[in-house]
Amino acid sequence: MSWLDKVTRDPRPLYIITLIVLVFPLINPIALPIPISDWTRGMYDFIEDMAPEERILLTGHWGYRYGELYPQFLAVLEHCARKGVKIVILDGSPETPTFTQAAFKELSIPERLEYGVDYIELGYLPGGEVMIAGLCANFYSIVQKDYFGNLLSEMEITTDIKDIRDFAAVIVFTGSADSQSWLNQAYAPYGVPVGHSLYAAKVVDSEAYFRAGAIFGIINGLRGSAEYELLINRPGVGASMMGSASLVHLLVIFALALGAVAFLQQKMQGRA
Amino acid sequence: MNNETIGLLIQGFIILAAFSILYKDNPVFKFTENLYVGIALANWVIVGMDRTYKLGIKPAMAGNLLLVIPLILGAASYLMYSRKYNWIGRIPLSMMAALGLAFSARGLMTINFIGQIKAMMVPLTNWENVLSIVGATLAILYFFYSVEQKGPMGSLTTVGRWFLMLAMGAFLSQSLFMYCTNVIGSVQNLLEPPAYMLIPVAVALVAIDAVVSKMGIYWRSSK
Amino acid sequence: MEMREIYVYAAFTMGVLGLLEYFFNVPFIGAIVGNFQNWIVIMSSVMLGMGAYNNLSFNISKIKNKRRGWAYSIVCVVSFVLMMLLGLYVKLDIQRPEWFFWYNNIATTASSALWAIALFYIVSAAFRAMRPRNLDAAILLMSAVLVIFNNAPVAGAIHPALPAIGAWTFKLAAETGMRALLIGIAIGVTSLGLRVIMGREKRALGGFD
Repeated sequence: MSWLDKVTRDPRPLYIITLIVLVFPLINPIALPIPISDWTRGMYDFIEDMAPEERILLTGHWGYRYGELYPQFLAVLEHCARKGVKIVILDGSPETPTFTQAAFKELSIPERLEYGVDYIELGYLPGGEVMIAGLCANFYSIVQKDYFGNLLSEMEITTDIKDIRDFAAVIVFTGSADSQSWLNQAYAPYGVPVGHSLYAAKVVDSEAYFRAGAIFGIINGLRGSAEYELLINRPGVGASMMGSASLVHLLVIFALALGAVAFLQQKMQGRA
Repeated sequence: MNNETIGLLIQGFIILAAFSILYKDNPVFKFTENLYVGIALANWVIVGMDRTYKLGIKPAMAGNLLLVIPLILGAASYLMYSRKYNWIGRIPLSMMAALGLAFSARGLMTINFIGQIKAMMVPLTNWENVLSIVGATLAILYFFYSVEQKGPMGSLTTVGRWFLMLAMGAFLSQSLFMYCTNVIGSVQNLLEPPAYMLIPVAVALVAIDAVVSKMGIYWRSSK
Repeated sequence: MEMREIYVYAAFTMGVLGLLEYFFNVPFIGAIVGNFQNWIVIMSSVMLGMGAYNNLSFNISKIKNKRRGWAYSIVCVVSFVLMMLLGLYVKLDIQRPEWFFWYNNIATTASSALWAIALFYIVSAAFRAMRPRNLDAAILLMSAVLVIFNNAPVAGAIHPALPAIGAWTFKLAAETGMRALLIGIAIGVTSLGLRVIMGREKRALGGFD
């Protein structure tokens, strides 16, 4: 057992150190420059270049990974609202409608936009990739009414939709296989541009799609929502968390370095 | 005391109860865990009932009688839990699984297979492109099991494994970032007034337990 | 044809139709598959309660037999029942403020906090378990550290080159290792899909045998 293992046998002091490192920047905010990545820039530029009459589909699980996806959804929804594009929201999981409503309230969407003309909420449609495939092939075969029971054929924003090609883009807010499903069913057969707004762990595979040109942008977890908030000039939750996140990351690097030193020391003493 | 204050106090209690596992396993943590599970399950059932009614029952009652079939099949899926009739329950699940896999496969071959191979076809004009092609090829070779991975093949697949380790390291770092967000969000909620008033209470309880444990007086453990 | 094997034929039919619909432009097949897609949305809605059914059966059995931790099972069942009553009170509309209050303050908070605990375990593991015992582990840890520089804005404050190095490492990881994994996933899912459709992989169709 190395000296580090003896010292850290009880991990609870480590937990306290982690908590202190985390809390300190929340009480004394650290101003850090947040450079904008290609991924976020790609997402922002795409929406910025959209014309007001174009339609965008926002879908995902922003209720589940509340800490990461919800700030991303707020930032993108705000941007879309400012641009005046037509927003169609498809809730991706059972808890999402609750938070869609919360987002509308937080951004005063009902006061700024007209329901049924500028934006609409379809509600949650279970069925996974089969549902997505059906929606992309024939919109009205899967959904005929919105969340509130209004007929989509009577709403100006959805009356002329036949399939996914009537959308300028799909942005998926998720950390599950949905990001792949929308690529498989919207981009692969129909060529509809897809953007990913993910929690951090899922970004590694999306980076491969981004480099291959399959998606136009990625919002990388909390960091991505901080960048997007800067781009739309609406600092929010994302920007406020970056100081703490940075220090915890430095703590982990310090821990890894210390662990490596202890291991090498043990190895040199022939005890590893 | 308005709703917002009560809400923040509830959030503070839940966060402290969840974090209490870091001190040691305790009844408050287990209570919170089970409370969360019960509420989350209820959410799924309520949404399921709502969707079943709006997407299935209401249109069926309006005249689209074919929709009775998926309603029956969906209900039949609960027979999965019966030892005698679980073969009936497998029918709707196998329909969903097979159709889902068929849809996935056709999209994946375009995006993941052809798309990624196309993306590998970059001009060999700089060392980064060369490294990217060589690395991806060797990493793919690692999953090629038709030839024994020994000798020259073994060396190549070892290098391929290194490139896979690069991706795993990136996953680790990104996962760390993901968990950071949840902690920071929880702690931010905890520091909101009046939730932070629960922190000294929690600290006091932990201190009392620590002192009592040290003094050799142990709480009766559950069987 | 044995009746108990009917689910294999159902899978075969659905799978073949799904593939035919993609490769051949036959309106009749497209209409049938479109119909089945709608059916699956409805079936999935009915099946949303399966998790609750399974969990509650387990907890109620635990309470009945007074197995270890049965008191907590009561908490689970009671919270489920109370939330269901609230759901019926709001007429299944989960956007109502009454529902949002309880769901957001308890379930969302608990979900975030329970996930958050993992960070502390990762930090502890970084000190105790994540050691560069061999070259593979060293590359993994080095990659993790470099990608951290891409995510943490403080890296730019320490040295301007660090975020660029992190971004380059991330790009390399995605273009090499991740690409291989994605290609492998495509081949794996396709072959699994064909095996399931052909009836050679029955466990994937929900059996307990």
